[in-house]
Amino acid sequence: MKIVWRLLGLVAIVAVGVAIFKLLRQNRQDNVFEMPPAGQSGGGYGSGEKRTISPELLEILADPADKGPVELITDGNGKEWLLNPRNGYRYPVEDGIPIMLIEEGEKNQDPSLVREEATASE
Amino acid sequence: MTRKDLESRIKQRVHDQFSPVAGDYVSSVTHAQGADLNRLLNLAEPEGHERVLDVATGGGHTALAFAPHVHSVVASDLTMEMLQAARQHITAQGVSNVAFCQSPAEVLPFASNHFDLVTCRVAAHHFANARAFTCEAARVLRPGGMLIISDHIGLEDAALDAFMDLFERWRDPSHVRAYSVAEWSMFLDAAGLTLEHSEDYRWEPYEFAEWAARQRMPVAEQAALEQWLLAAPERFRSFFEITEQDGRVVSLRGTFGILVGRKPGVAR
Repeated sequence: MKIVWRLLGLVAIVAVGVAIFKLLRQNRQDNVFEMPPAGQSGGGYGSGEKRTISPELLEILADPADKGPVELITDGNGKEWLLNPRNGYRYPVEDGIPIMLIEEGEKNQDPSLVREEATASE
Repeated sequence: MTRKDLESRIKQRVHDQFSPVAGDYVSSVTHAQGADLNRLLNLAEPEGHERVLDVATGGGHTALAFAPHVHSVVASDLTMEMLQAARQHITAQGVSNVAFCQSPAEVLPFASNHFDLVTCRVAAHHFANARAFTCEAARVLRPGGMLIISDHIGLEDAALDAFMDLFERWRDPSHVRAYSVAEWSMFLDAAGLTLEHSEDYRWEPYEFAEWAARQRMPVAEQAALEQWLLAAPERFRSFFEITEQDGRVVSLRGTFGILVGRKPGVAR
């Protein structure tokens, strides 16, 4: 009977040792990956390193002048813009931050991007 | 000069004033740790589901204070340099539910009836058109939503008010006006909001040297302002608590307050 208790004790000590080792390893990994991946934690915007506009912000962004919705587009050079399809105003996105100044939209207007149905639906 | 020219001139001045000192506003102890942030949270009583807009976020301190207690925050500012400094500060704290957007306070680029709460802390005195800002805040708020303004508050006593206006603008040329509670009440009324609550909020007195330096006030101007403050009649010196040591101003106090406006209607 004594030997059974001794064995049990040994097993318990080994288990505790393994648990401590695992905790330490996990902790080290957590430290390495301190930055959470973009868009993971919290309530939604998840900015982080990717520097893109989150879908949630995009959904509520409006043209500052007519307050209608804007669309995220990418031009031939890979640059992102927020387009008002009703008048072709394009608002620049700098490092993931939209520049929603009417004068910027006007300056970068592209009339070829105006869509009739967008105008009509307003 | 038309109203529009004047407004764009004011905006240019705000930009010129704040873009070179953006980092200073992030690290400013006065702005970051103002006990009024807790007061704003108490007044707002967020439950966790709120969508918040922080207008003229500056160093991002209000956005950062609310972010852990709400669903998400959009932080807007006229100055890109401020937004970048605020984003850097906020993401460094591990907070990820704050989005950033460059926009003037008077022309907000957001859908109507969306936000549960609009905050604006120590900023409205820079706005080119505070009335237009109030209307835009009312538009983007959902029915039942709340606007909280914490700012310099103007005084009913015209002489004291003019005195404060002068020393604030002397130090910071982009200071437009500290509106009184009566003026805010008019703005809110015109925007269709109900003034639900207003209170005085006593900030720490300005430590003169730090206060003047944060806006990069030239030394000669600081000295001129000090002489002017020290030459003021006793009534002004005691009201603004101007303290003096060896012919230099040590500290003085401006007047601040908090206002709560409500958009009529039922919560969704």
